[in-house]
Amino acid sequence: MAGNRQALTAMQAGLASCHVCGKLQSCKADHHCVRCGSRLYQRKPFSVQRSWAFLITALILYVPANLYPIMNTTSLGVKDEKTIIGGVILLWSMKSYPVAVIIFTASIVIPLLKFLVISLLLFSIWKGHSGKLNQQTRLFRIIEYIGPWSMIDVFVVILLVALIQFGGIATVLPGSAAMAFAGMVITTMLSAISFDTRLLWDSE
Amino acid sequence: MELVQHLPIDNLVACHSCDLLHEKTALGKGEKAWCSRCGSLLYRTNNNAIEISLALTIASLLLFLFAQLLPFLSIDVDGNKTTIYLISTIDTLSQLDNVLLGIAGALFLVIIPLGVLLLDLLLLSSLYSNKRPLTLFARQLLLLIGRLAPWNMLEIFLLGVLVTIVKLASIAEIALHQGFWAFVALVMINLFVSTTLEPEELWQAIDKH
Repeated sequence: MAGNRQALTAMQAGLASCHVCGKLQSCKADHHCVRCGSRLYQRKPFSVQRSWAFLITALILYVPANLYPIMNTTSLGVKDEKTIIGGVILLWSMKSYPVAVIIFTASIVIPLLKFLVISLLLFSIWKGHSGKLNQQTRLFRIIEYIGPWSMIDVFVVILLVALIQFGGIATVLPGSAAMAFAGMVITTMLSAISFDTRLLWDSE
Repeated sequence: MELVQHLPIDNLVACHSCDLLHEKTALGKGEKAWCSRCGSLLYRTNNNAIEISLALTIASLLLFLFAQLLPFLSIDVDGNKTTIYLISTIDTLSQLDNVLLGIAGALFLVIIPLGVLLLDLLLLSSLYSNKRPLTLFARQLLLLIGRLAPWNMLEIFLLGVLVTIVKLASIAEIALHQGFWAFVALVMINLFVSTTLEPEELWQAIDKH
């Protein structure tokens, strides 16, 4: 453990650790990092606003991502369109339980968890009351780590499209939800990247 | 602000999650320092991290080439057999008039992972061989690597491949080829490097030059 005699934050000491390379240095207004040359901020600029903006964009994209088909299959002339949840139900009815659970978790549960946790933390910053900051910080780190795993379904669509091109017998085409879904994952990741956990601790 | 003069900045570290200042203490090999307030990782040490990472980056580049250019997997539906290469998935996508999905595939499967590997190779080899002119440019390389890192999703793609295989197993016969196994090895090495190599260590190495 590193020593901690004076309980002091870098901001209270007039210091900043560069948000790009992490170098700790004294922070004067309008300065650039002495090590990597990036603009120096004590907190990520417009963190709350950017986080909200990306999160709301992601929420909007979540609607078409779930309502429109993610994959269009044509098999012996029979067309079939499947939404994400439709695909999960089909997998479950075919007794592929592990895969159904993986897709359901990655495509439905993780995005919802991300919306919930990031908006709760943003509210917590806005209200200024701290609550259990340890748990909130850990929760954010978990959400940040599992976020990109939502891309699984997009990759599955890409692979199926590339694999199943048998002309008359069977073809798979990406549905309109595929791009909305990819956009949703990317914007939730941008929302997490913009979020600054130090803002949670500033009210302490 | 007057506090700044009394604090030995070089001997301090601020937690990235909650901004609390800590005095640095020397760590033994493989030890980690945690924040006393919020419990996040402060820093860790590794010996020979640059040498090990350089060796593994070269190995990763070769595996990346194998994964892209060797047969990846083949699928057999009632005698209709197709073998795909990883690189050909992008070609197929772009032929379907779905430009955006083609671009997404190209970015996540080829451009970003290959870009990060090449930047890593340039940076690590210049640090390893102490070349002066390259170190000027090392900061830019490391900044770019840091920006690309969150978008490197090879391990997630691997899980996608496994899900696809299970999905298709009931309707078709699937065979895995050398490209697939090279890809598995690549993902393993990538995960190992990301837990070994700390960006702070690279910044300090650049500072020393």
